[in-house]
Amino acid sequence: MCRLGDVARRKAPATFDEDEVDAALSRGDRQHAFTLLMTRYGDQVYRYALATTGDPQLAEEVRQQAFVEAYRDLPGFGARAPVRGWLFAIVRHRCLDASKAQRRWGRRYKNPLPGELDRDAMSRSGPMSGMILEEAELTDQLDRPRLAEVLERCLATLAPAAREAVLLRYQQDLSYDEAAEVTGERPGTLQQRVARALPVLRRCVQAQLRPGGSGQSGGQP
Amino acid sequence: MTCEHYWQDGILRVERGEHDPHRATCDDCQQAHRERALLVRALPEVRATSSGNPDWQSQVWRRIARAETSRARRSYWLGGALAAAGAAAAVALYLTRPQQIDRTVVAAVRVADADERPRVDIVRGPESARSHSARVGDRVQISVGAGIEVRVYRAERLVLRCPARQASPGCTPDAAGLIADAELTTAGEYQLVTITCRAALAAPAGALDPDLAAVVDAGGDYRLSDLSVR
Repeated sequence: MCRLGDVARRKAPATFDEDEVDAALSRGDRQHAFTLLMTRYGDQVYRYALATTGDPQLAEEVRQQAFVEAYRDLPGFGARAPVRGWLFAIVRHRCLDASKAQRRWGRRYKNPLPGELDRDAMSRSGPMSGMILEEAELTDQLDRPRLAEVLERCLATLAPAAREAVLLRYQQDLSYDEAAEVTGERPGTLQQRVARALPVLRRCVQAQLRPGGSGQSGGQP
Repeated sequence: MTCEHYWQDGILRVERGEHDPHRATCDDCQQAHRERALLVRALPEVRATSSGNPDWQSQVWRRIARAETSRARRSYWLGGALAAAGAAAAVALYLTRPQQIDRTVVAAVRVADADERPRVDIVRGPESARSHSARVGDRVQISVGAGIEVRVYRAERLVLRCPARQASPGCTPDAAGLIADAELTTAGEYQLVTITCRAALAAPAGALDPDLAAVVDAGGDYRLSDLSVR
């Protein structure tokens, strides 16, 4: 387990007890267990899907498909693994499917996908190492909603695998071991992806926050 | 000249949970570490207030109901298909026996036991004695027990509705319940739906998915069968 001692940890809401899900399943009360899951993780799943696909409708579709699948597989789940990791593994696959469909659609009809224009502009701007940035210092005084908004745009510039690693680790607060279970990658691989992605995000955010900044930074780690 | 150690190497140590002695003595790296922490803290706030469709849980339950019905339907039709295959074999043997009879008398192919309900019969036009699949010009007859409503959709649009025990064109109540009869006028996919519901059902909107959702919402149960017409 690679826990960060010097970064404030976000705690999962204490109202949810995975044991309650296990207990409901052992009673054969699949509907109750499933309702608990939807209530606890529904919004998280949606936000993850939204950050991954960049499309609210697609994110909603991913959420609903993932939960239908989870309901189907719930009796066989058997608490072999933390339920959140199991659920996000399903969500991740649905996100991958949705992203593939999105790309096929984009190739066929040439319409820009959500966030694609930004990505195109950024990819034309070349590797970030060649950029001359007027760096805006990131400090705690930054307007947090504005930072989150800029960060969302910058996330869209990351390569899918890097974005997935960052989101699972720091949006969903999974440990690297849990994220590795979800993705089937090694924890070390995910650590490297995140370590490469965070500087890219930082430069992108700096570029967007500087006066007149329009996101002319980025590149895919 | 600023120190790039943190972004090139130190950050990976942080992700691995390793100690980085250089950072303790480097102001640039400490500042970089604070910036990283700021980014990491901001990531859960991305779209933090977005929660999508407020009705999403109901929609998931509807999808589950449909998926389960679909599974039940497959089992139902597997049994039906076996019965049909048996019936087809019997008809074929009958038709090919030495003493030929007039084939046009074979007017109906029973897909299930004659006394069983619900039951779906494809009633043939006079020119299609050998085929056991539905064709344009055939009729479909759905016989159901008492208290069951029948609906026939084509391409998921309603073409016939027979509320339980109500007589109307295409809908004939009988002693056992009701027989719905629809002509298969166009090639394509038909959906045959039988509905059981204790509560009174509102008039359907005419589109399959919303209509089935309304049945589930009203506490009803439905069985959906597909029929391909060539």
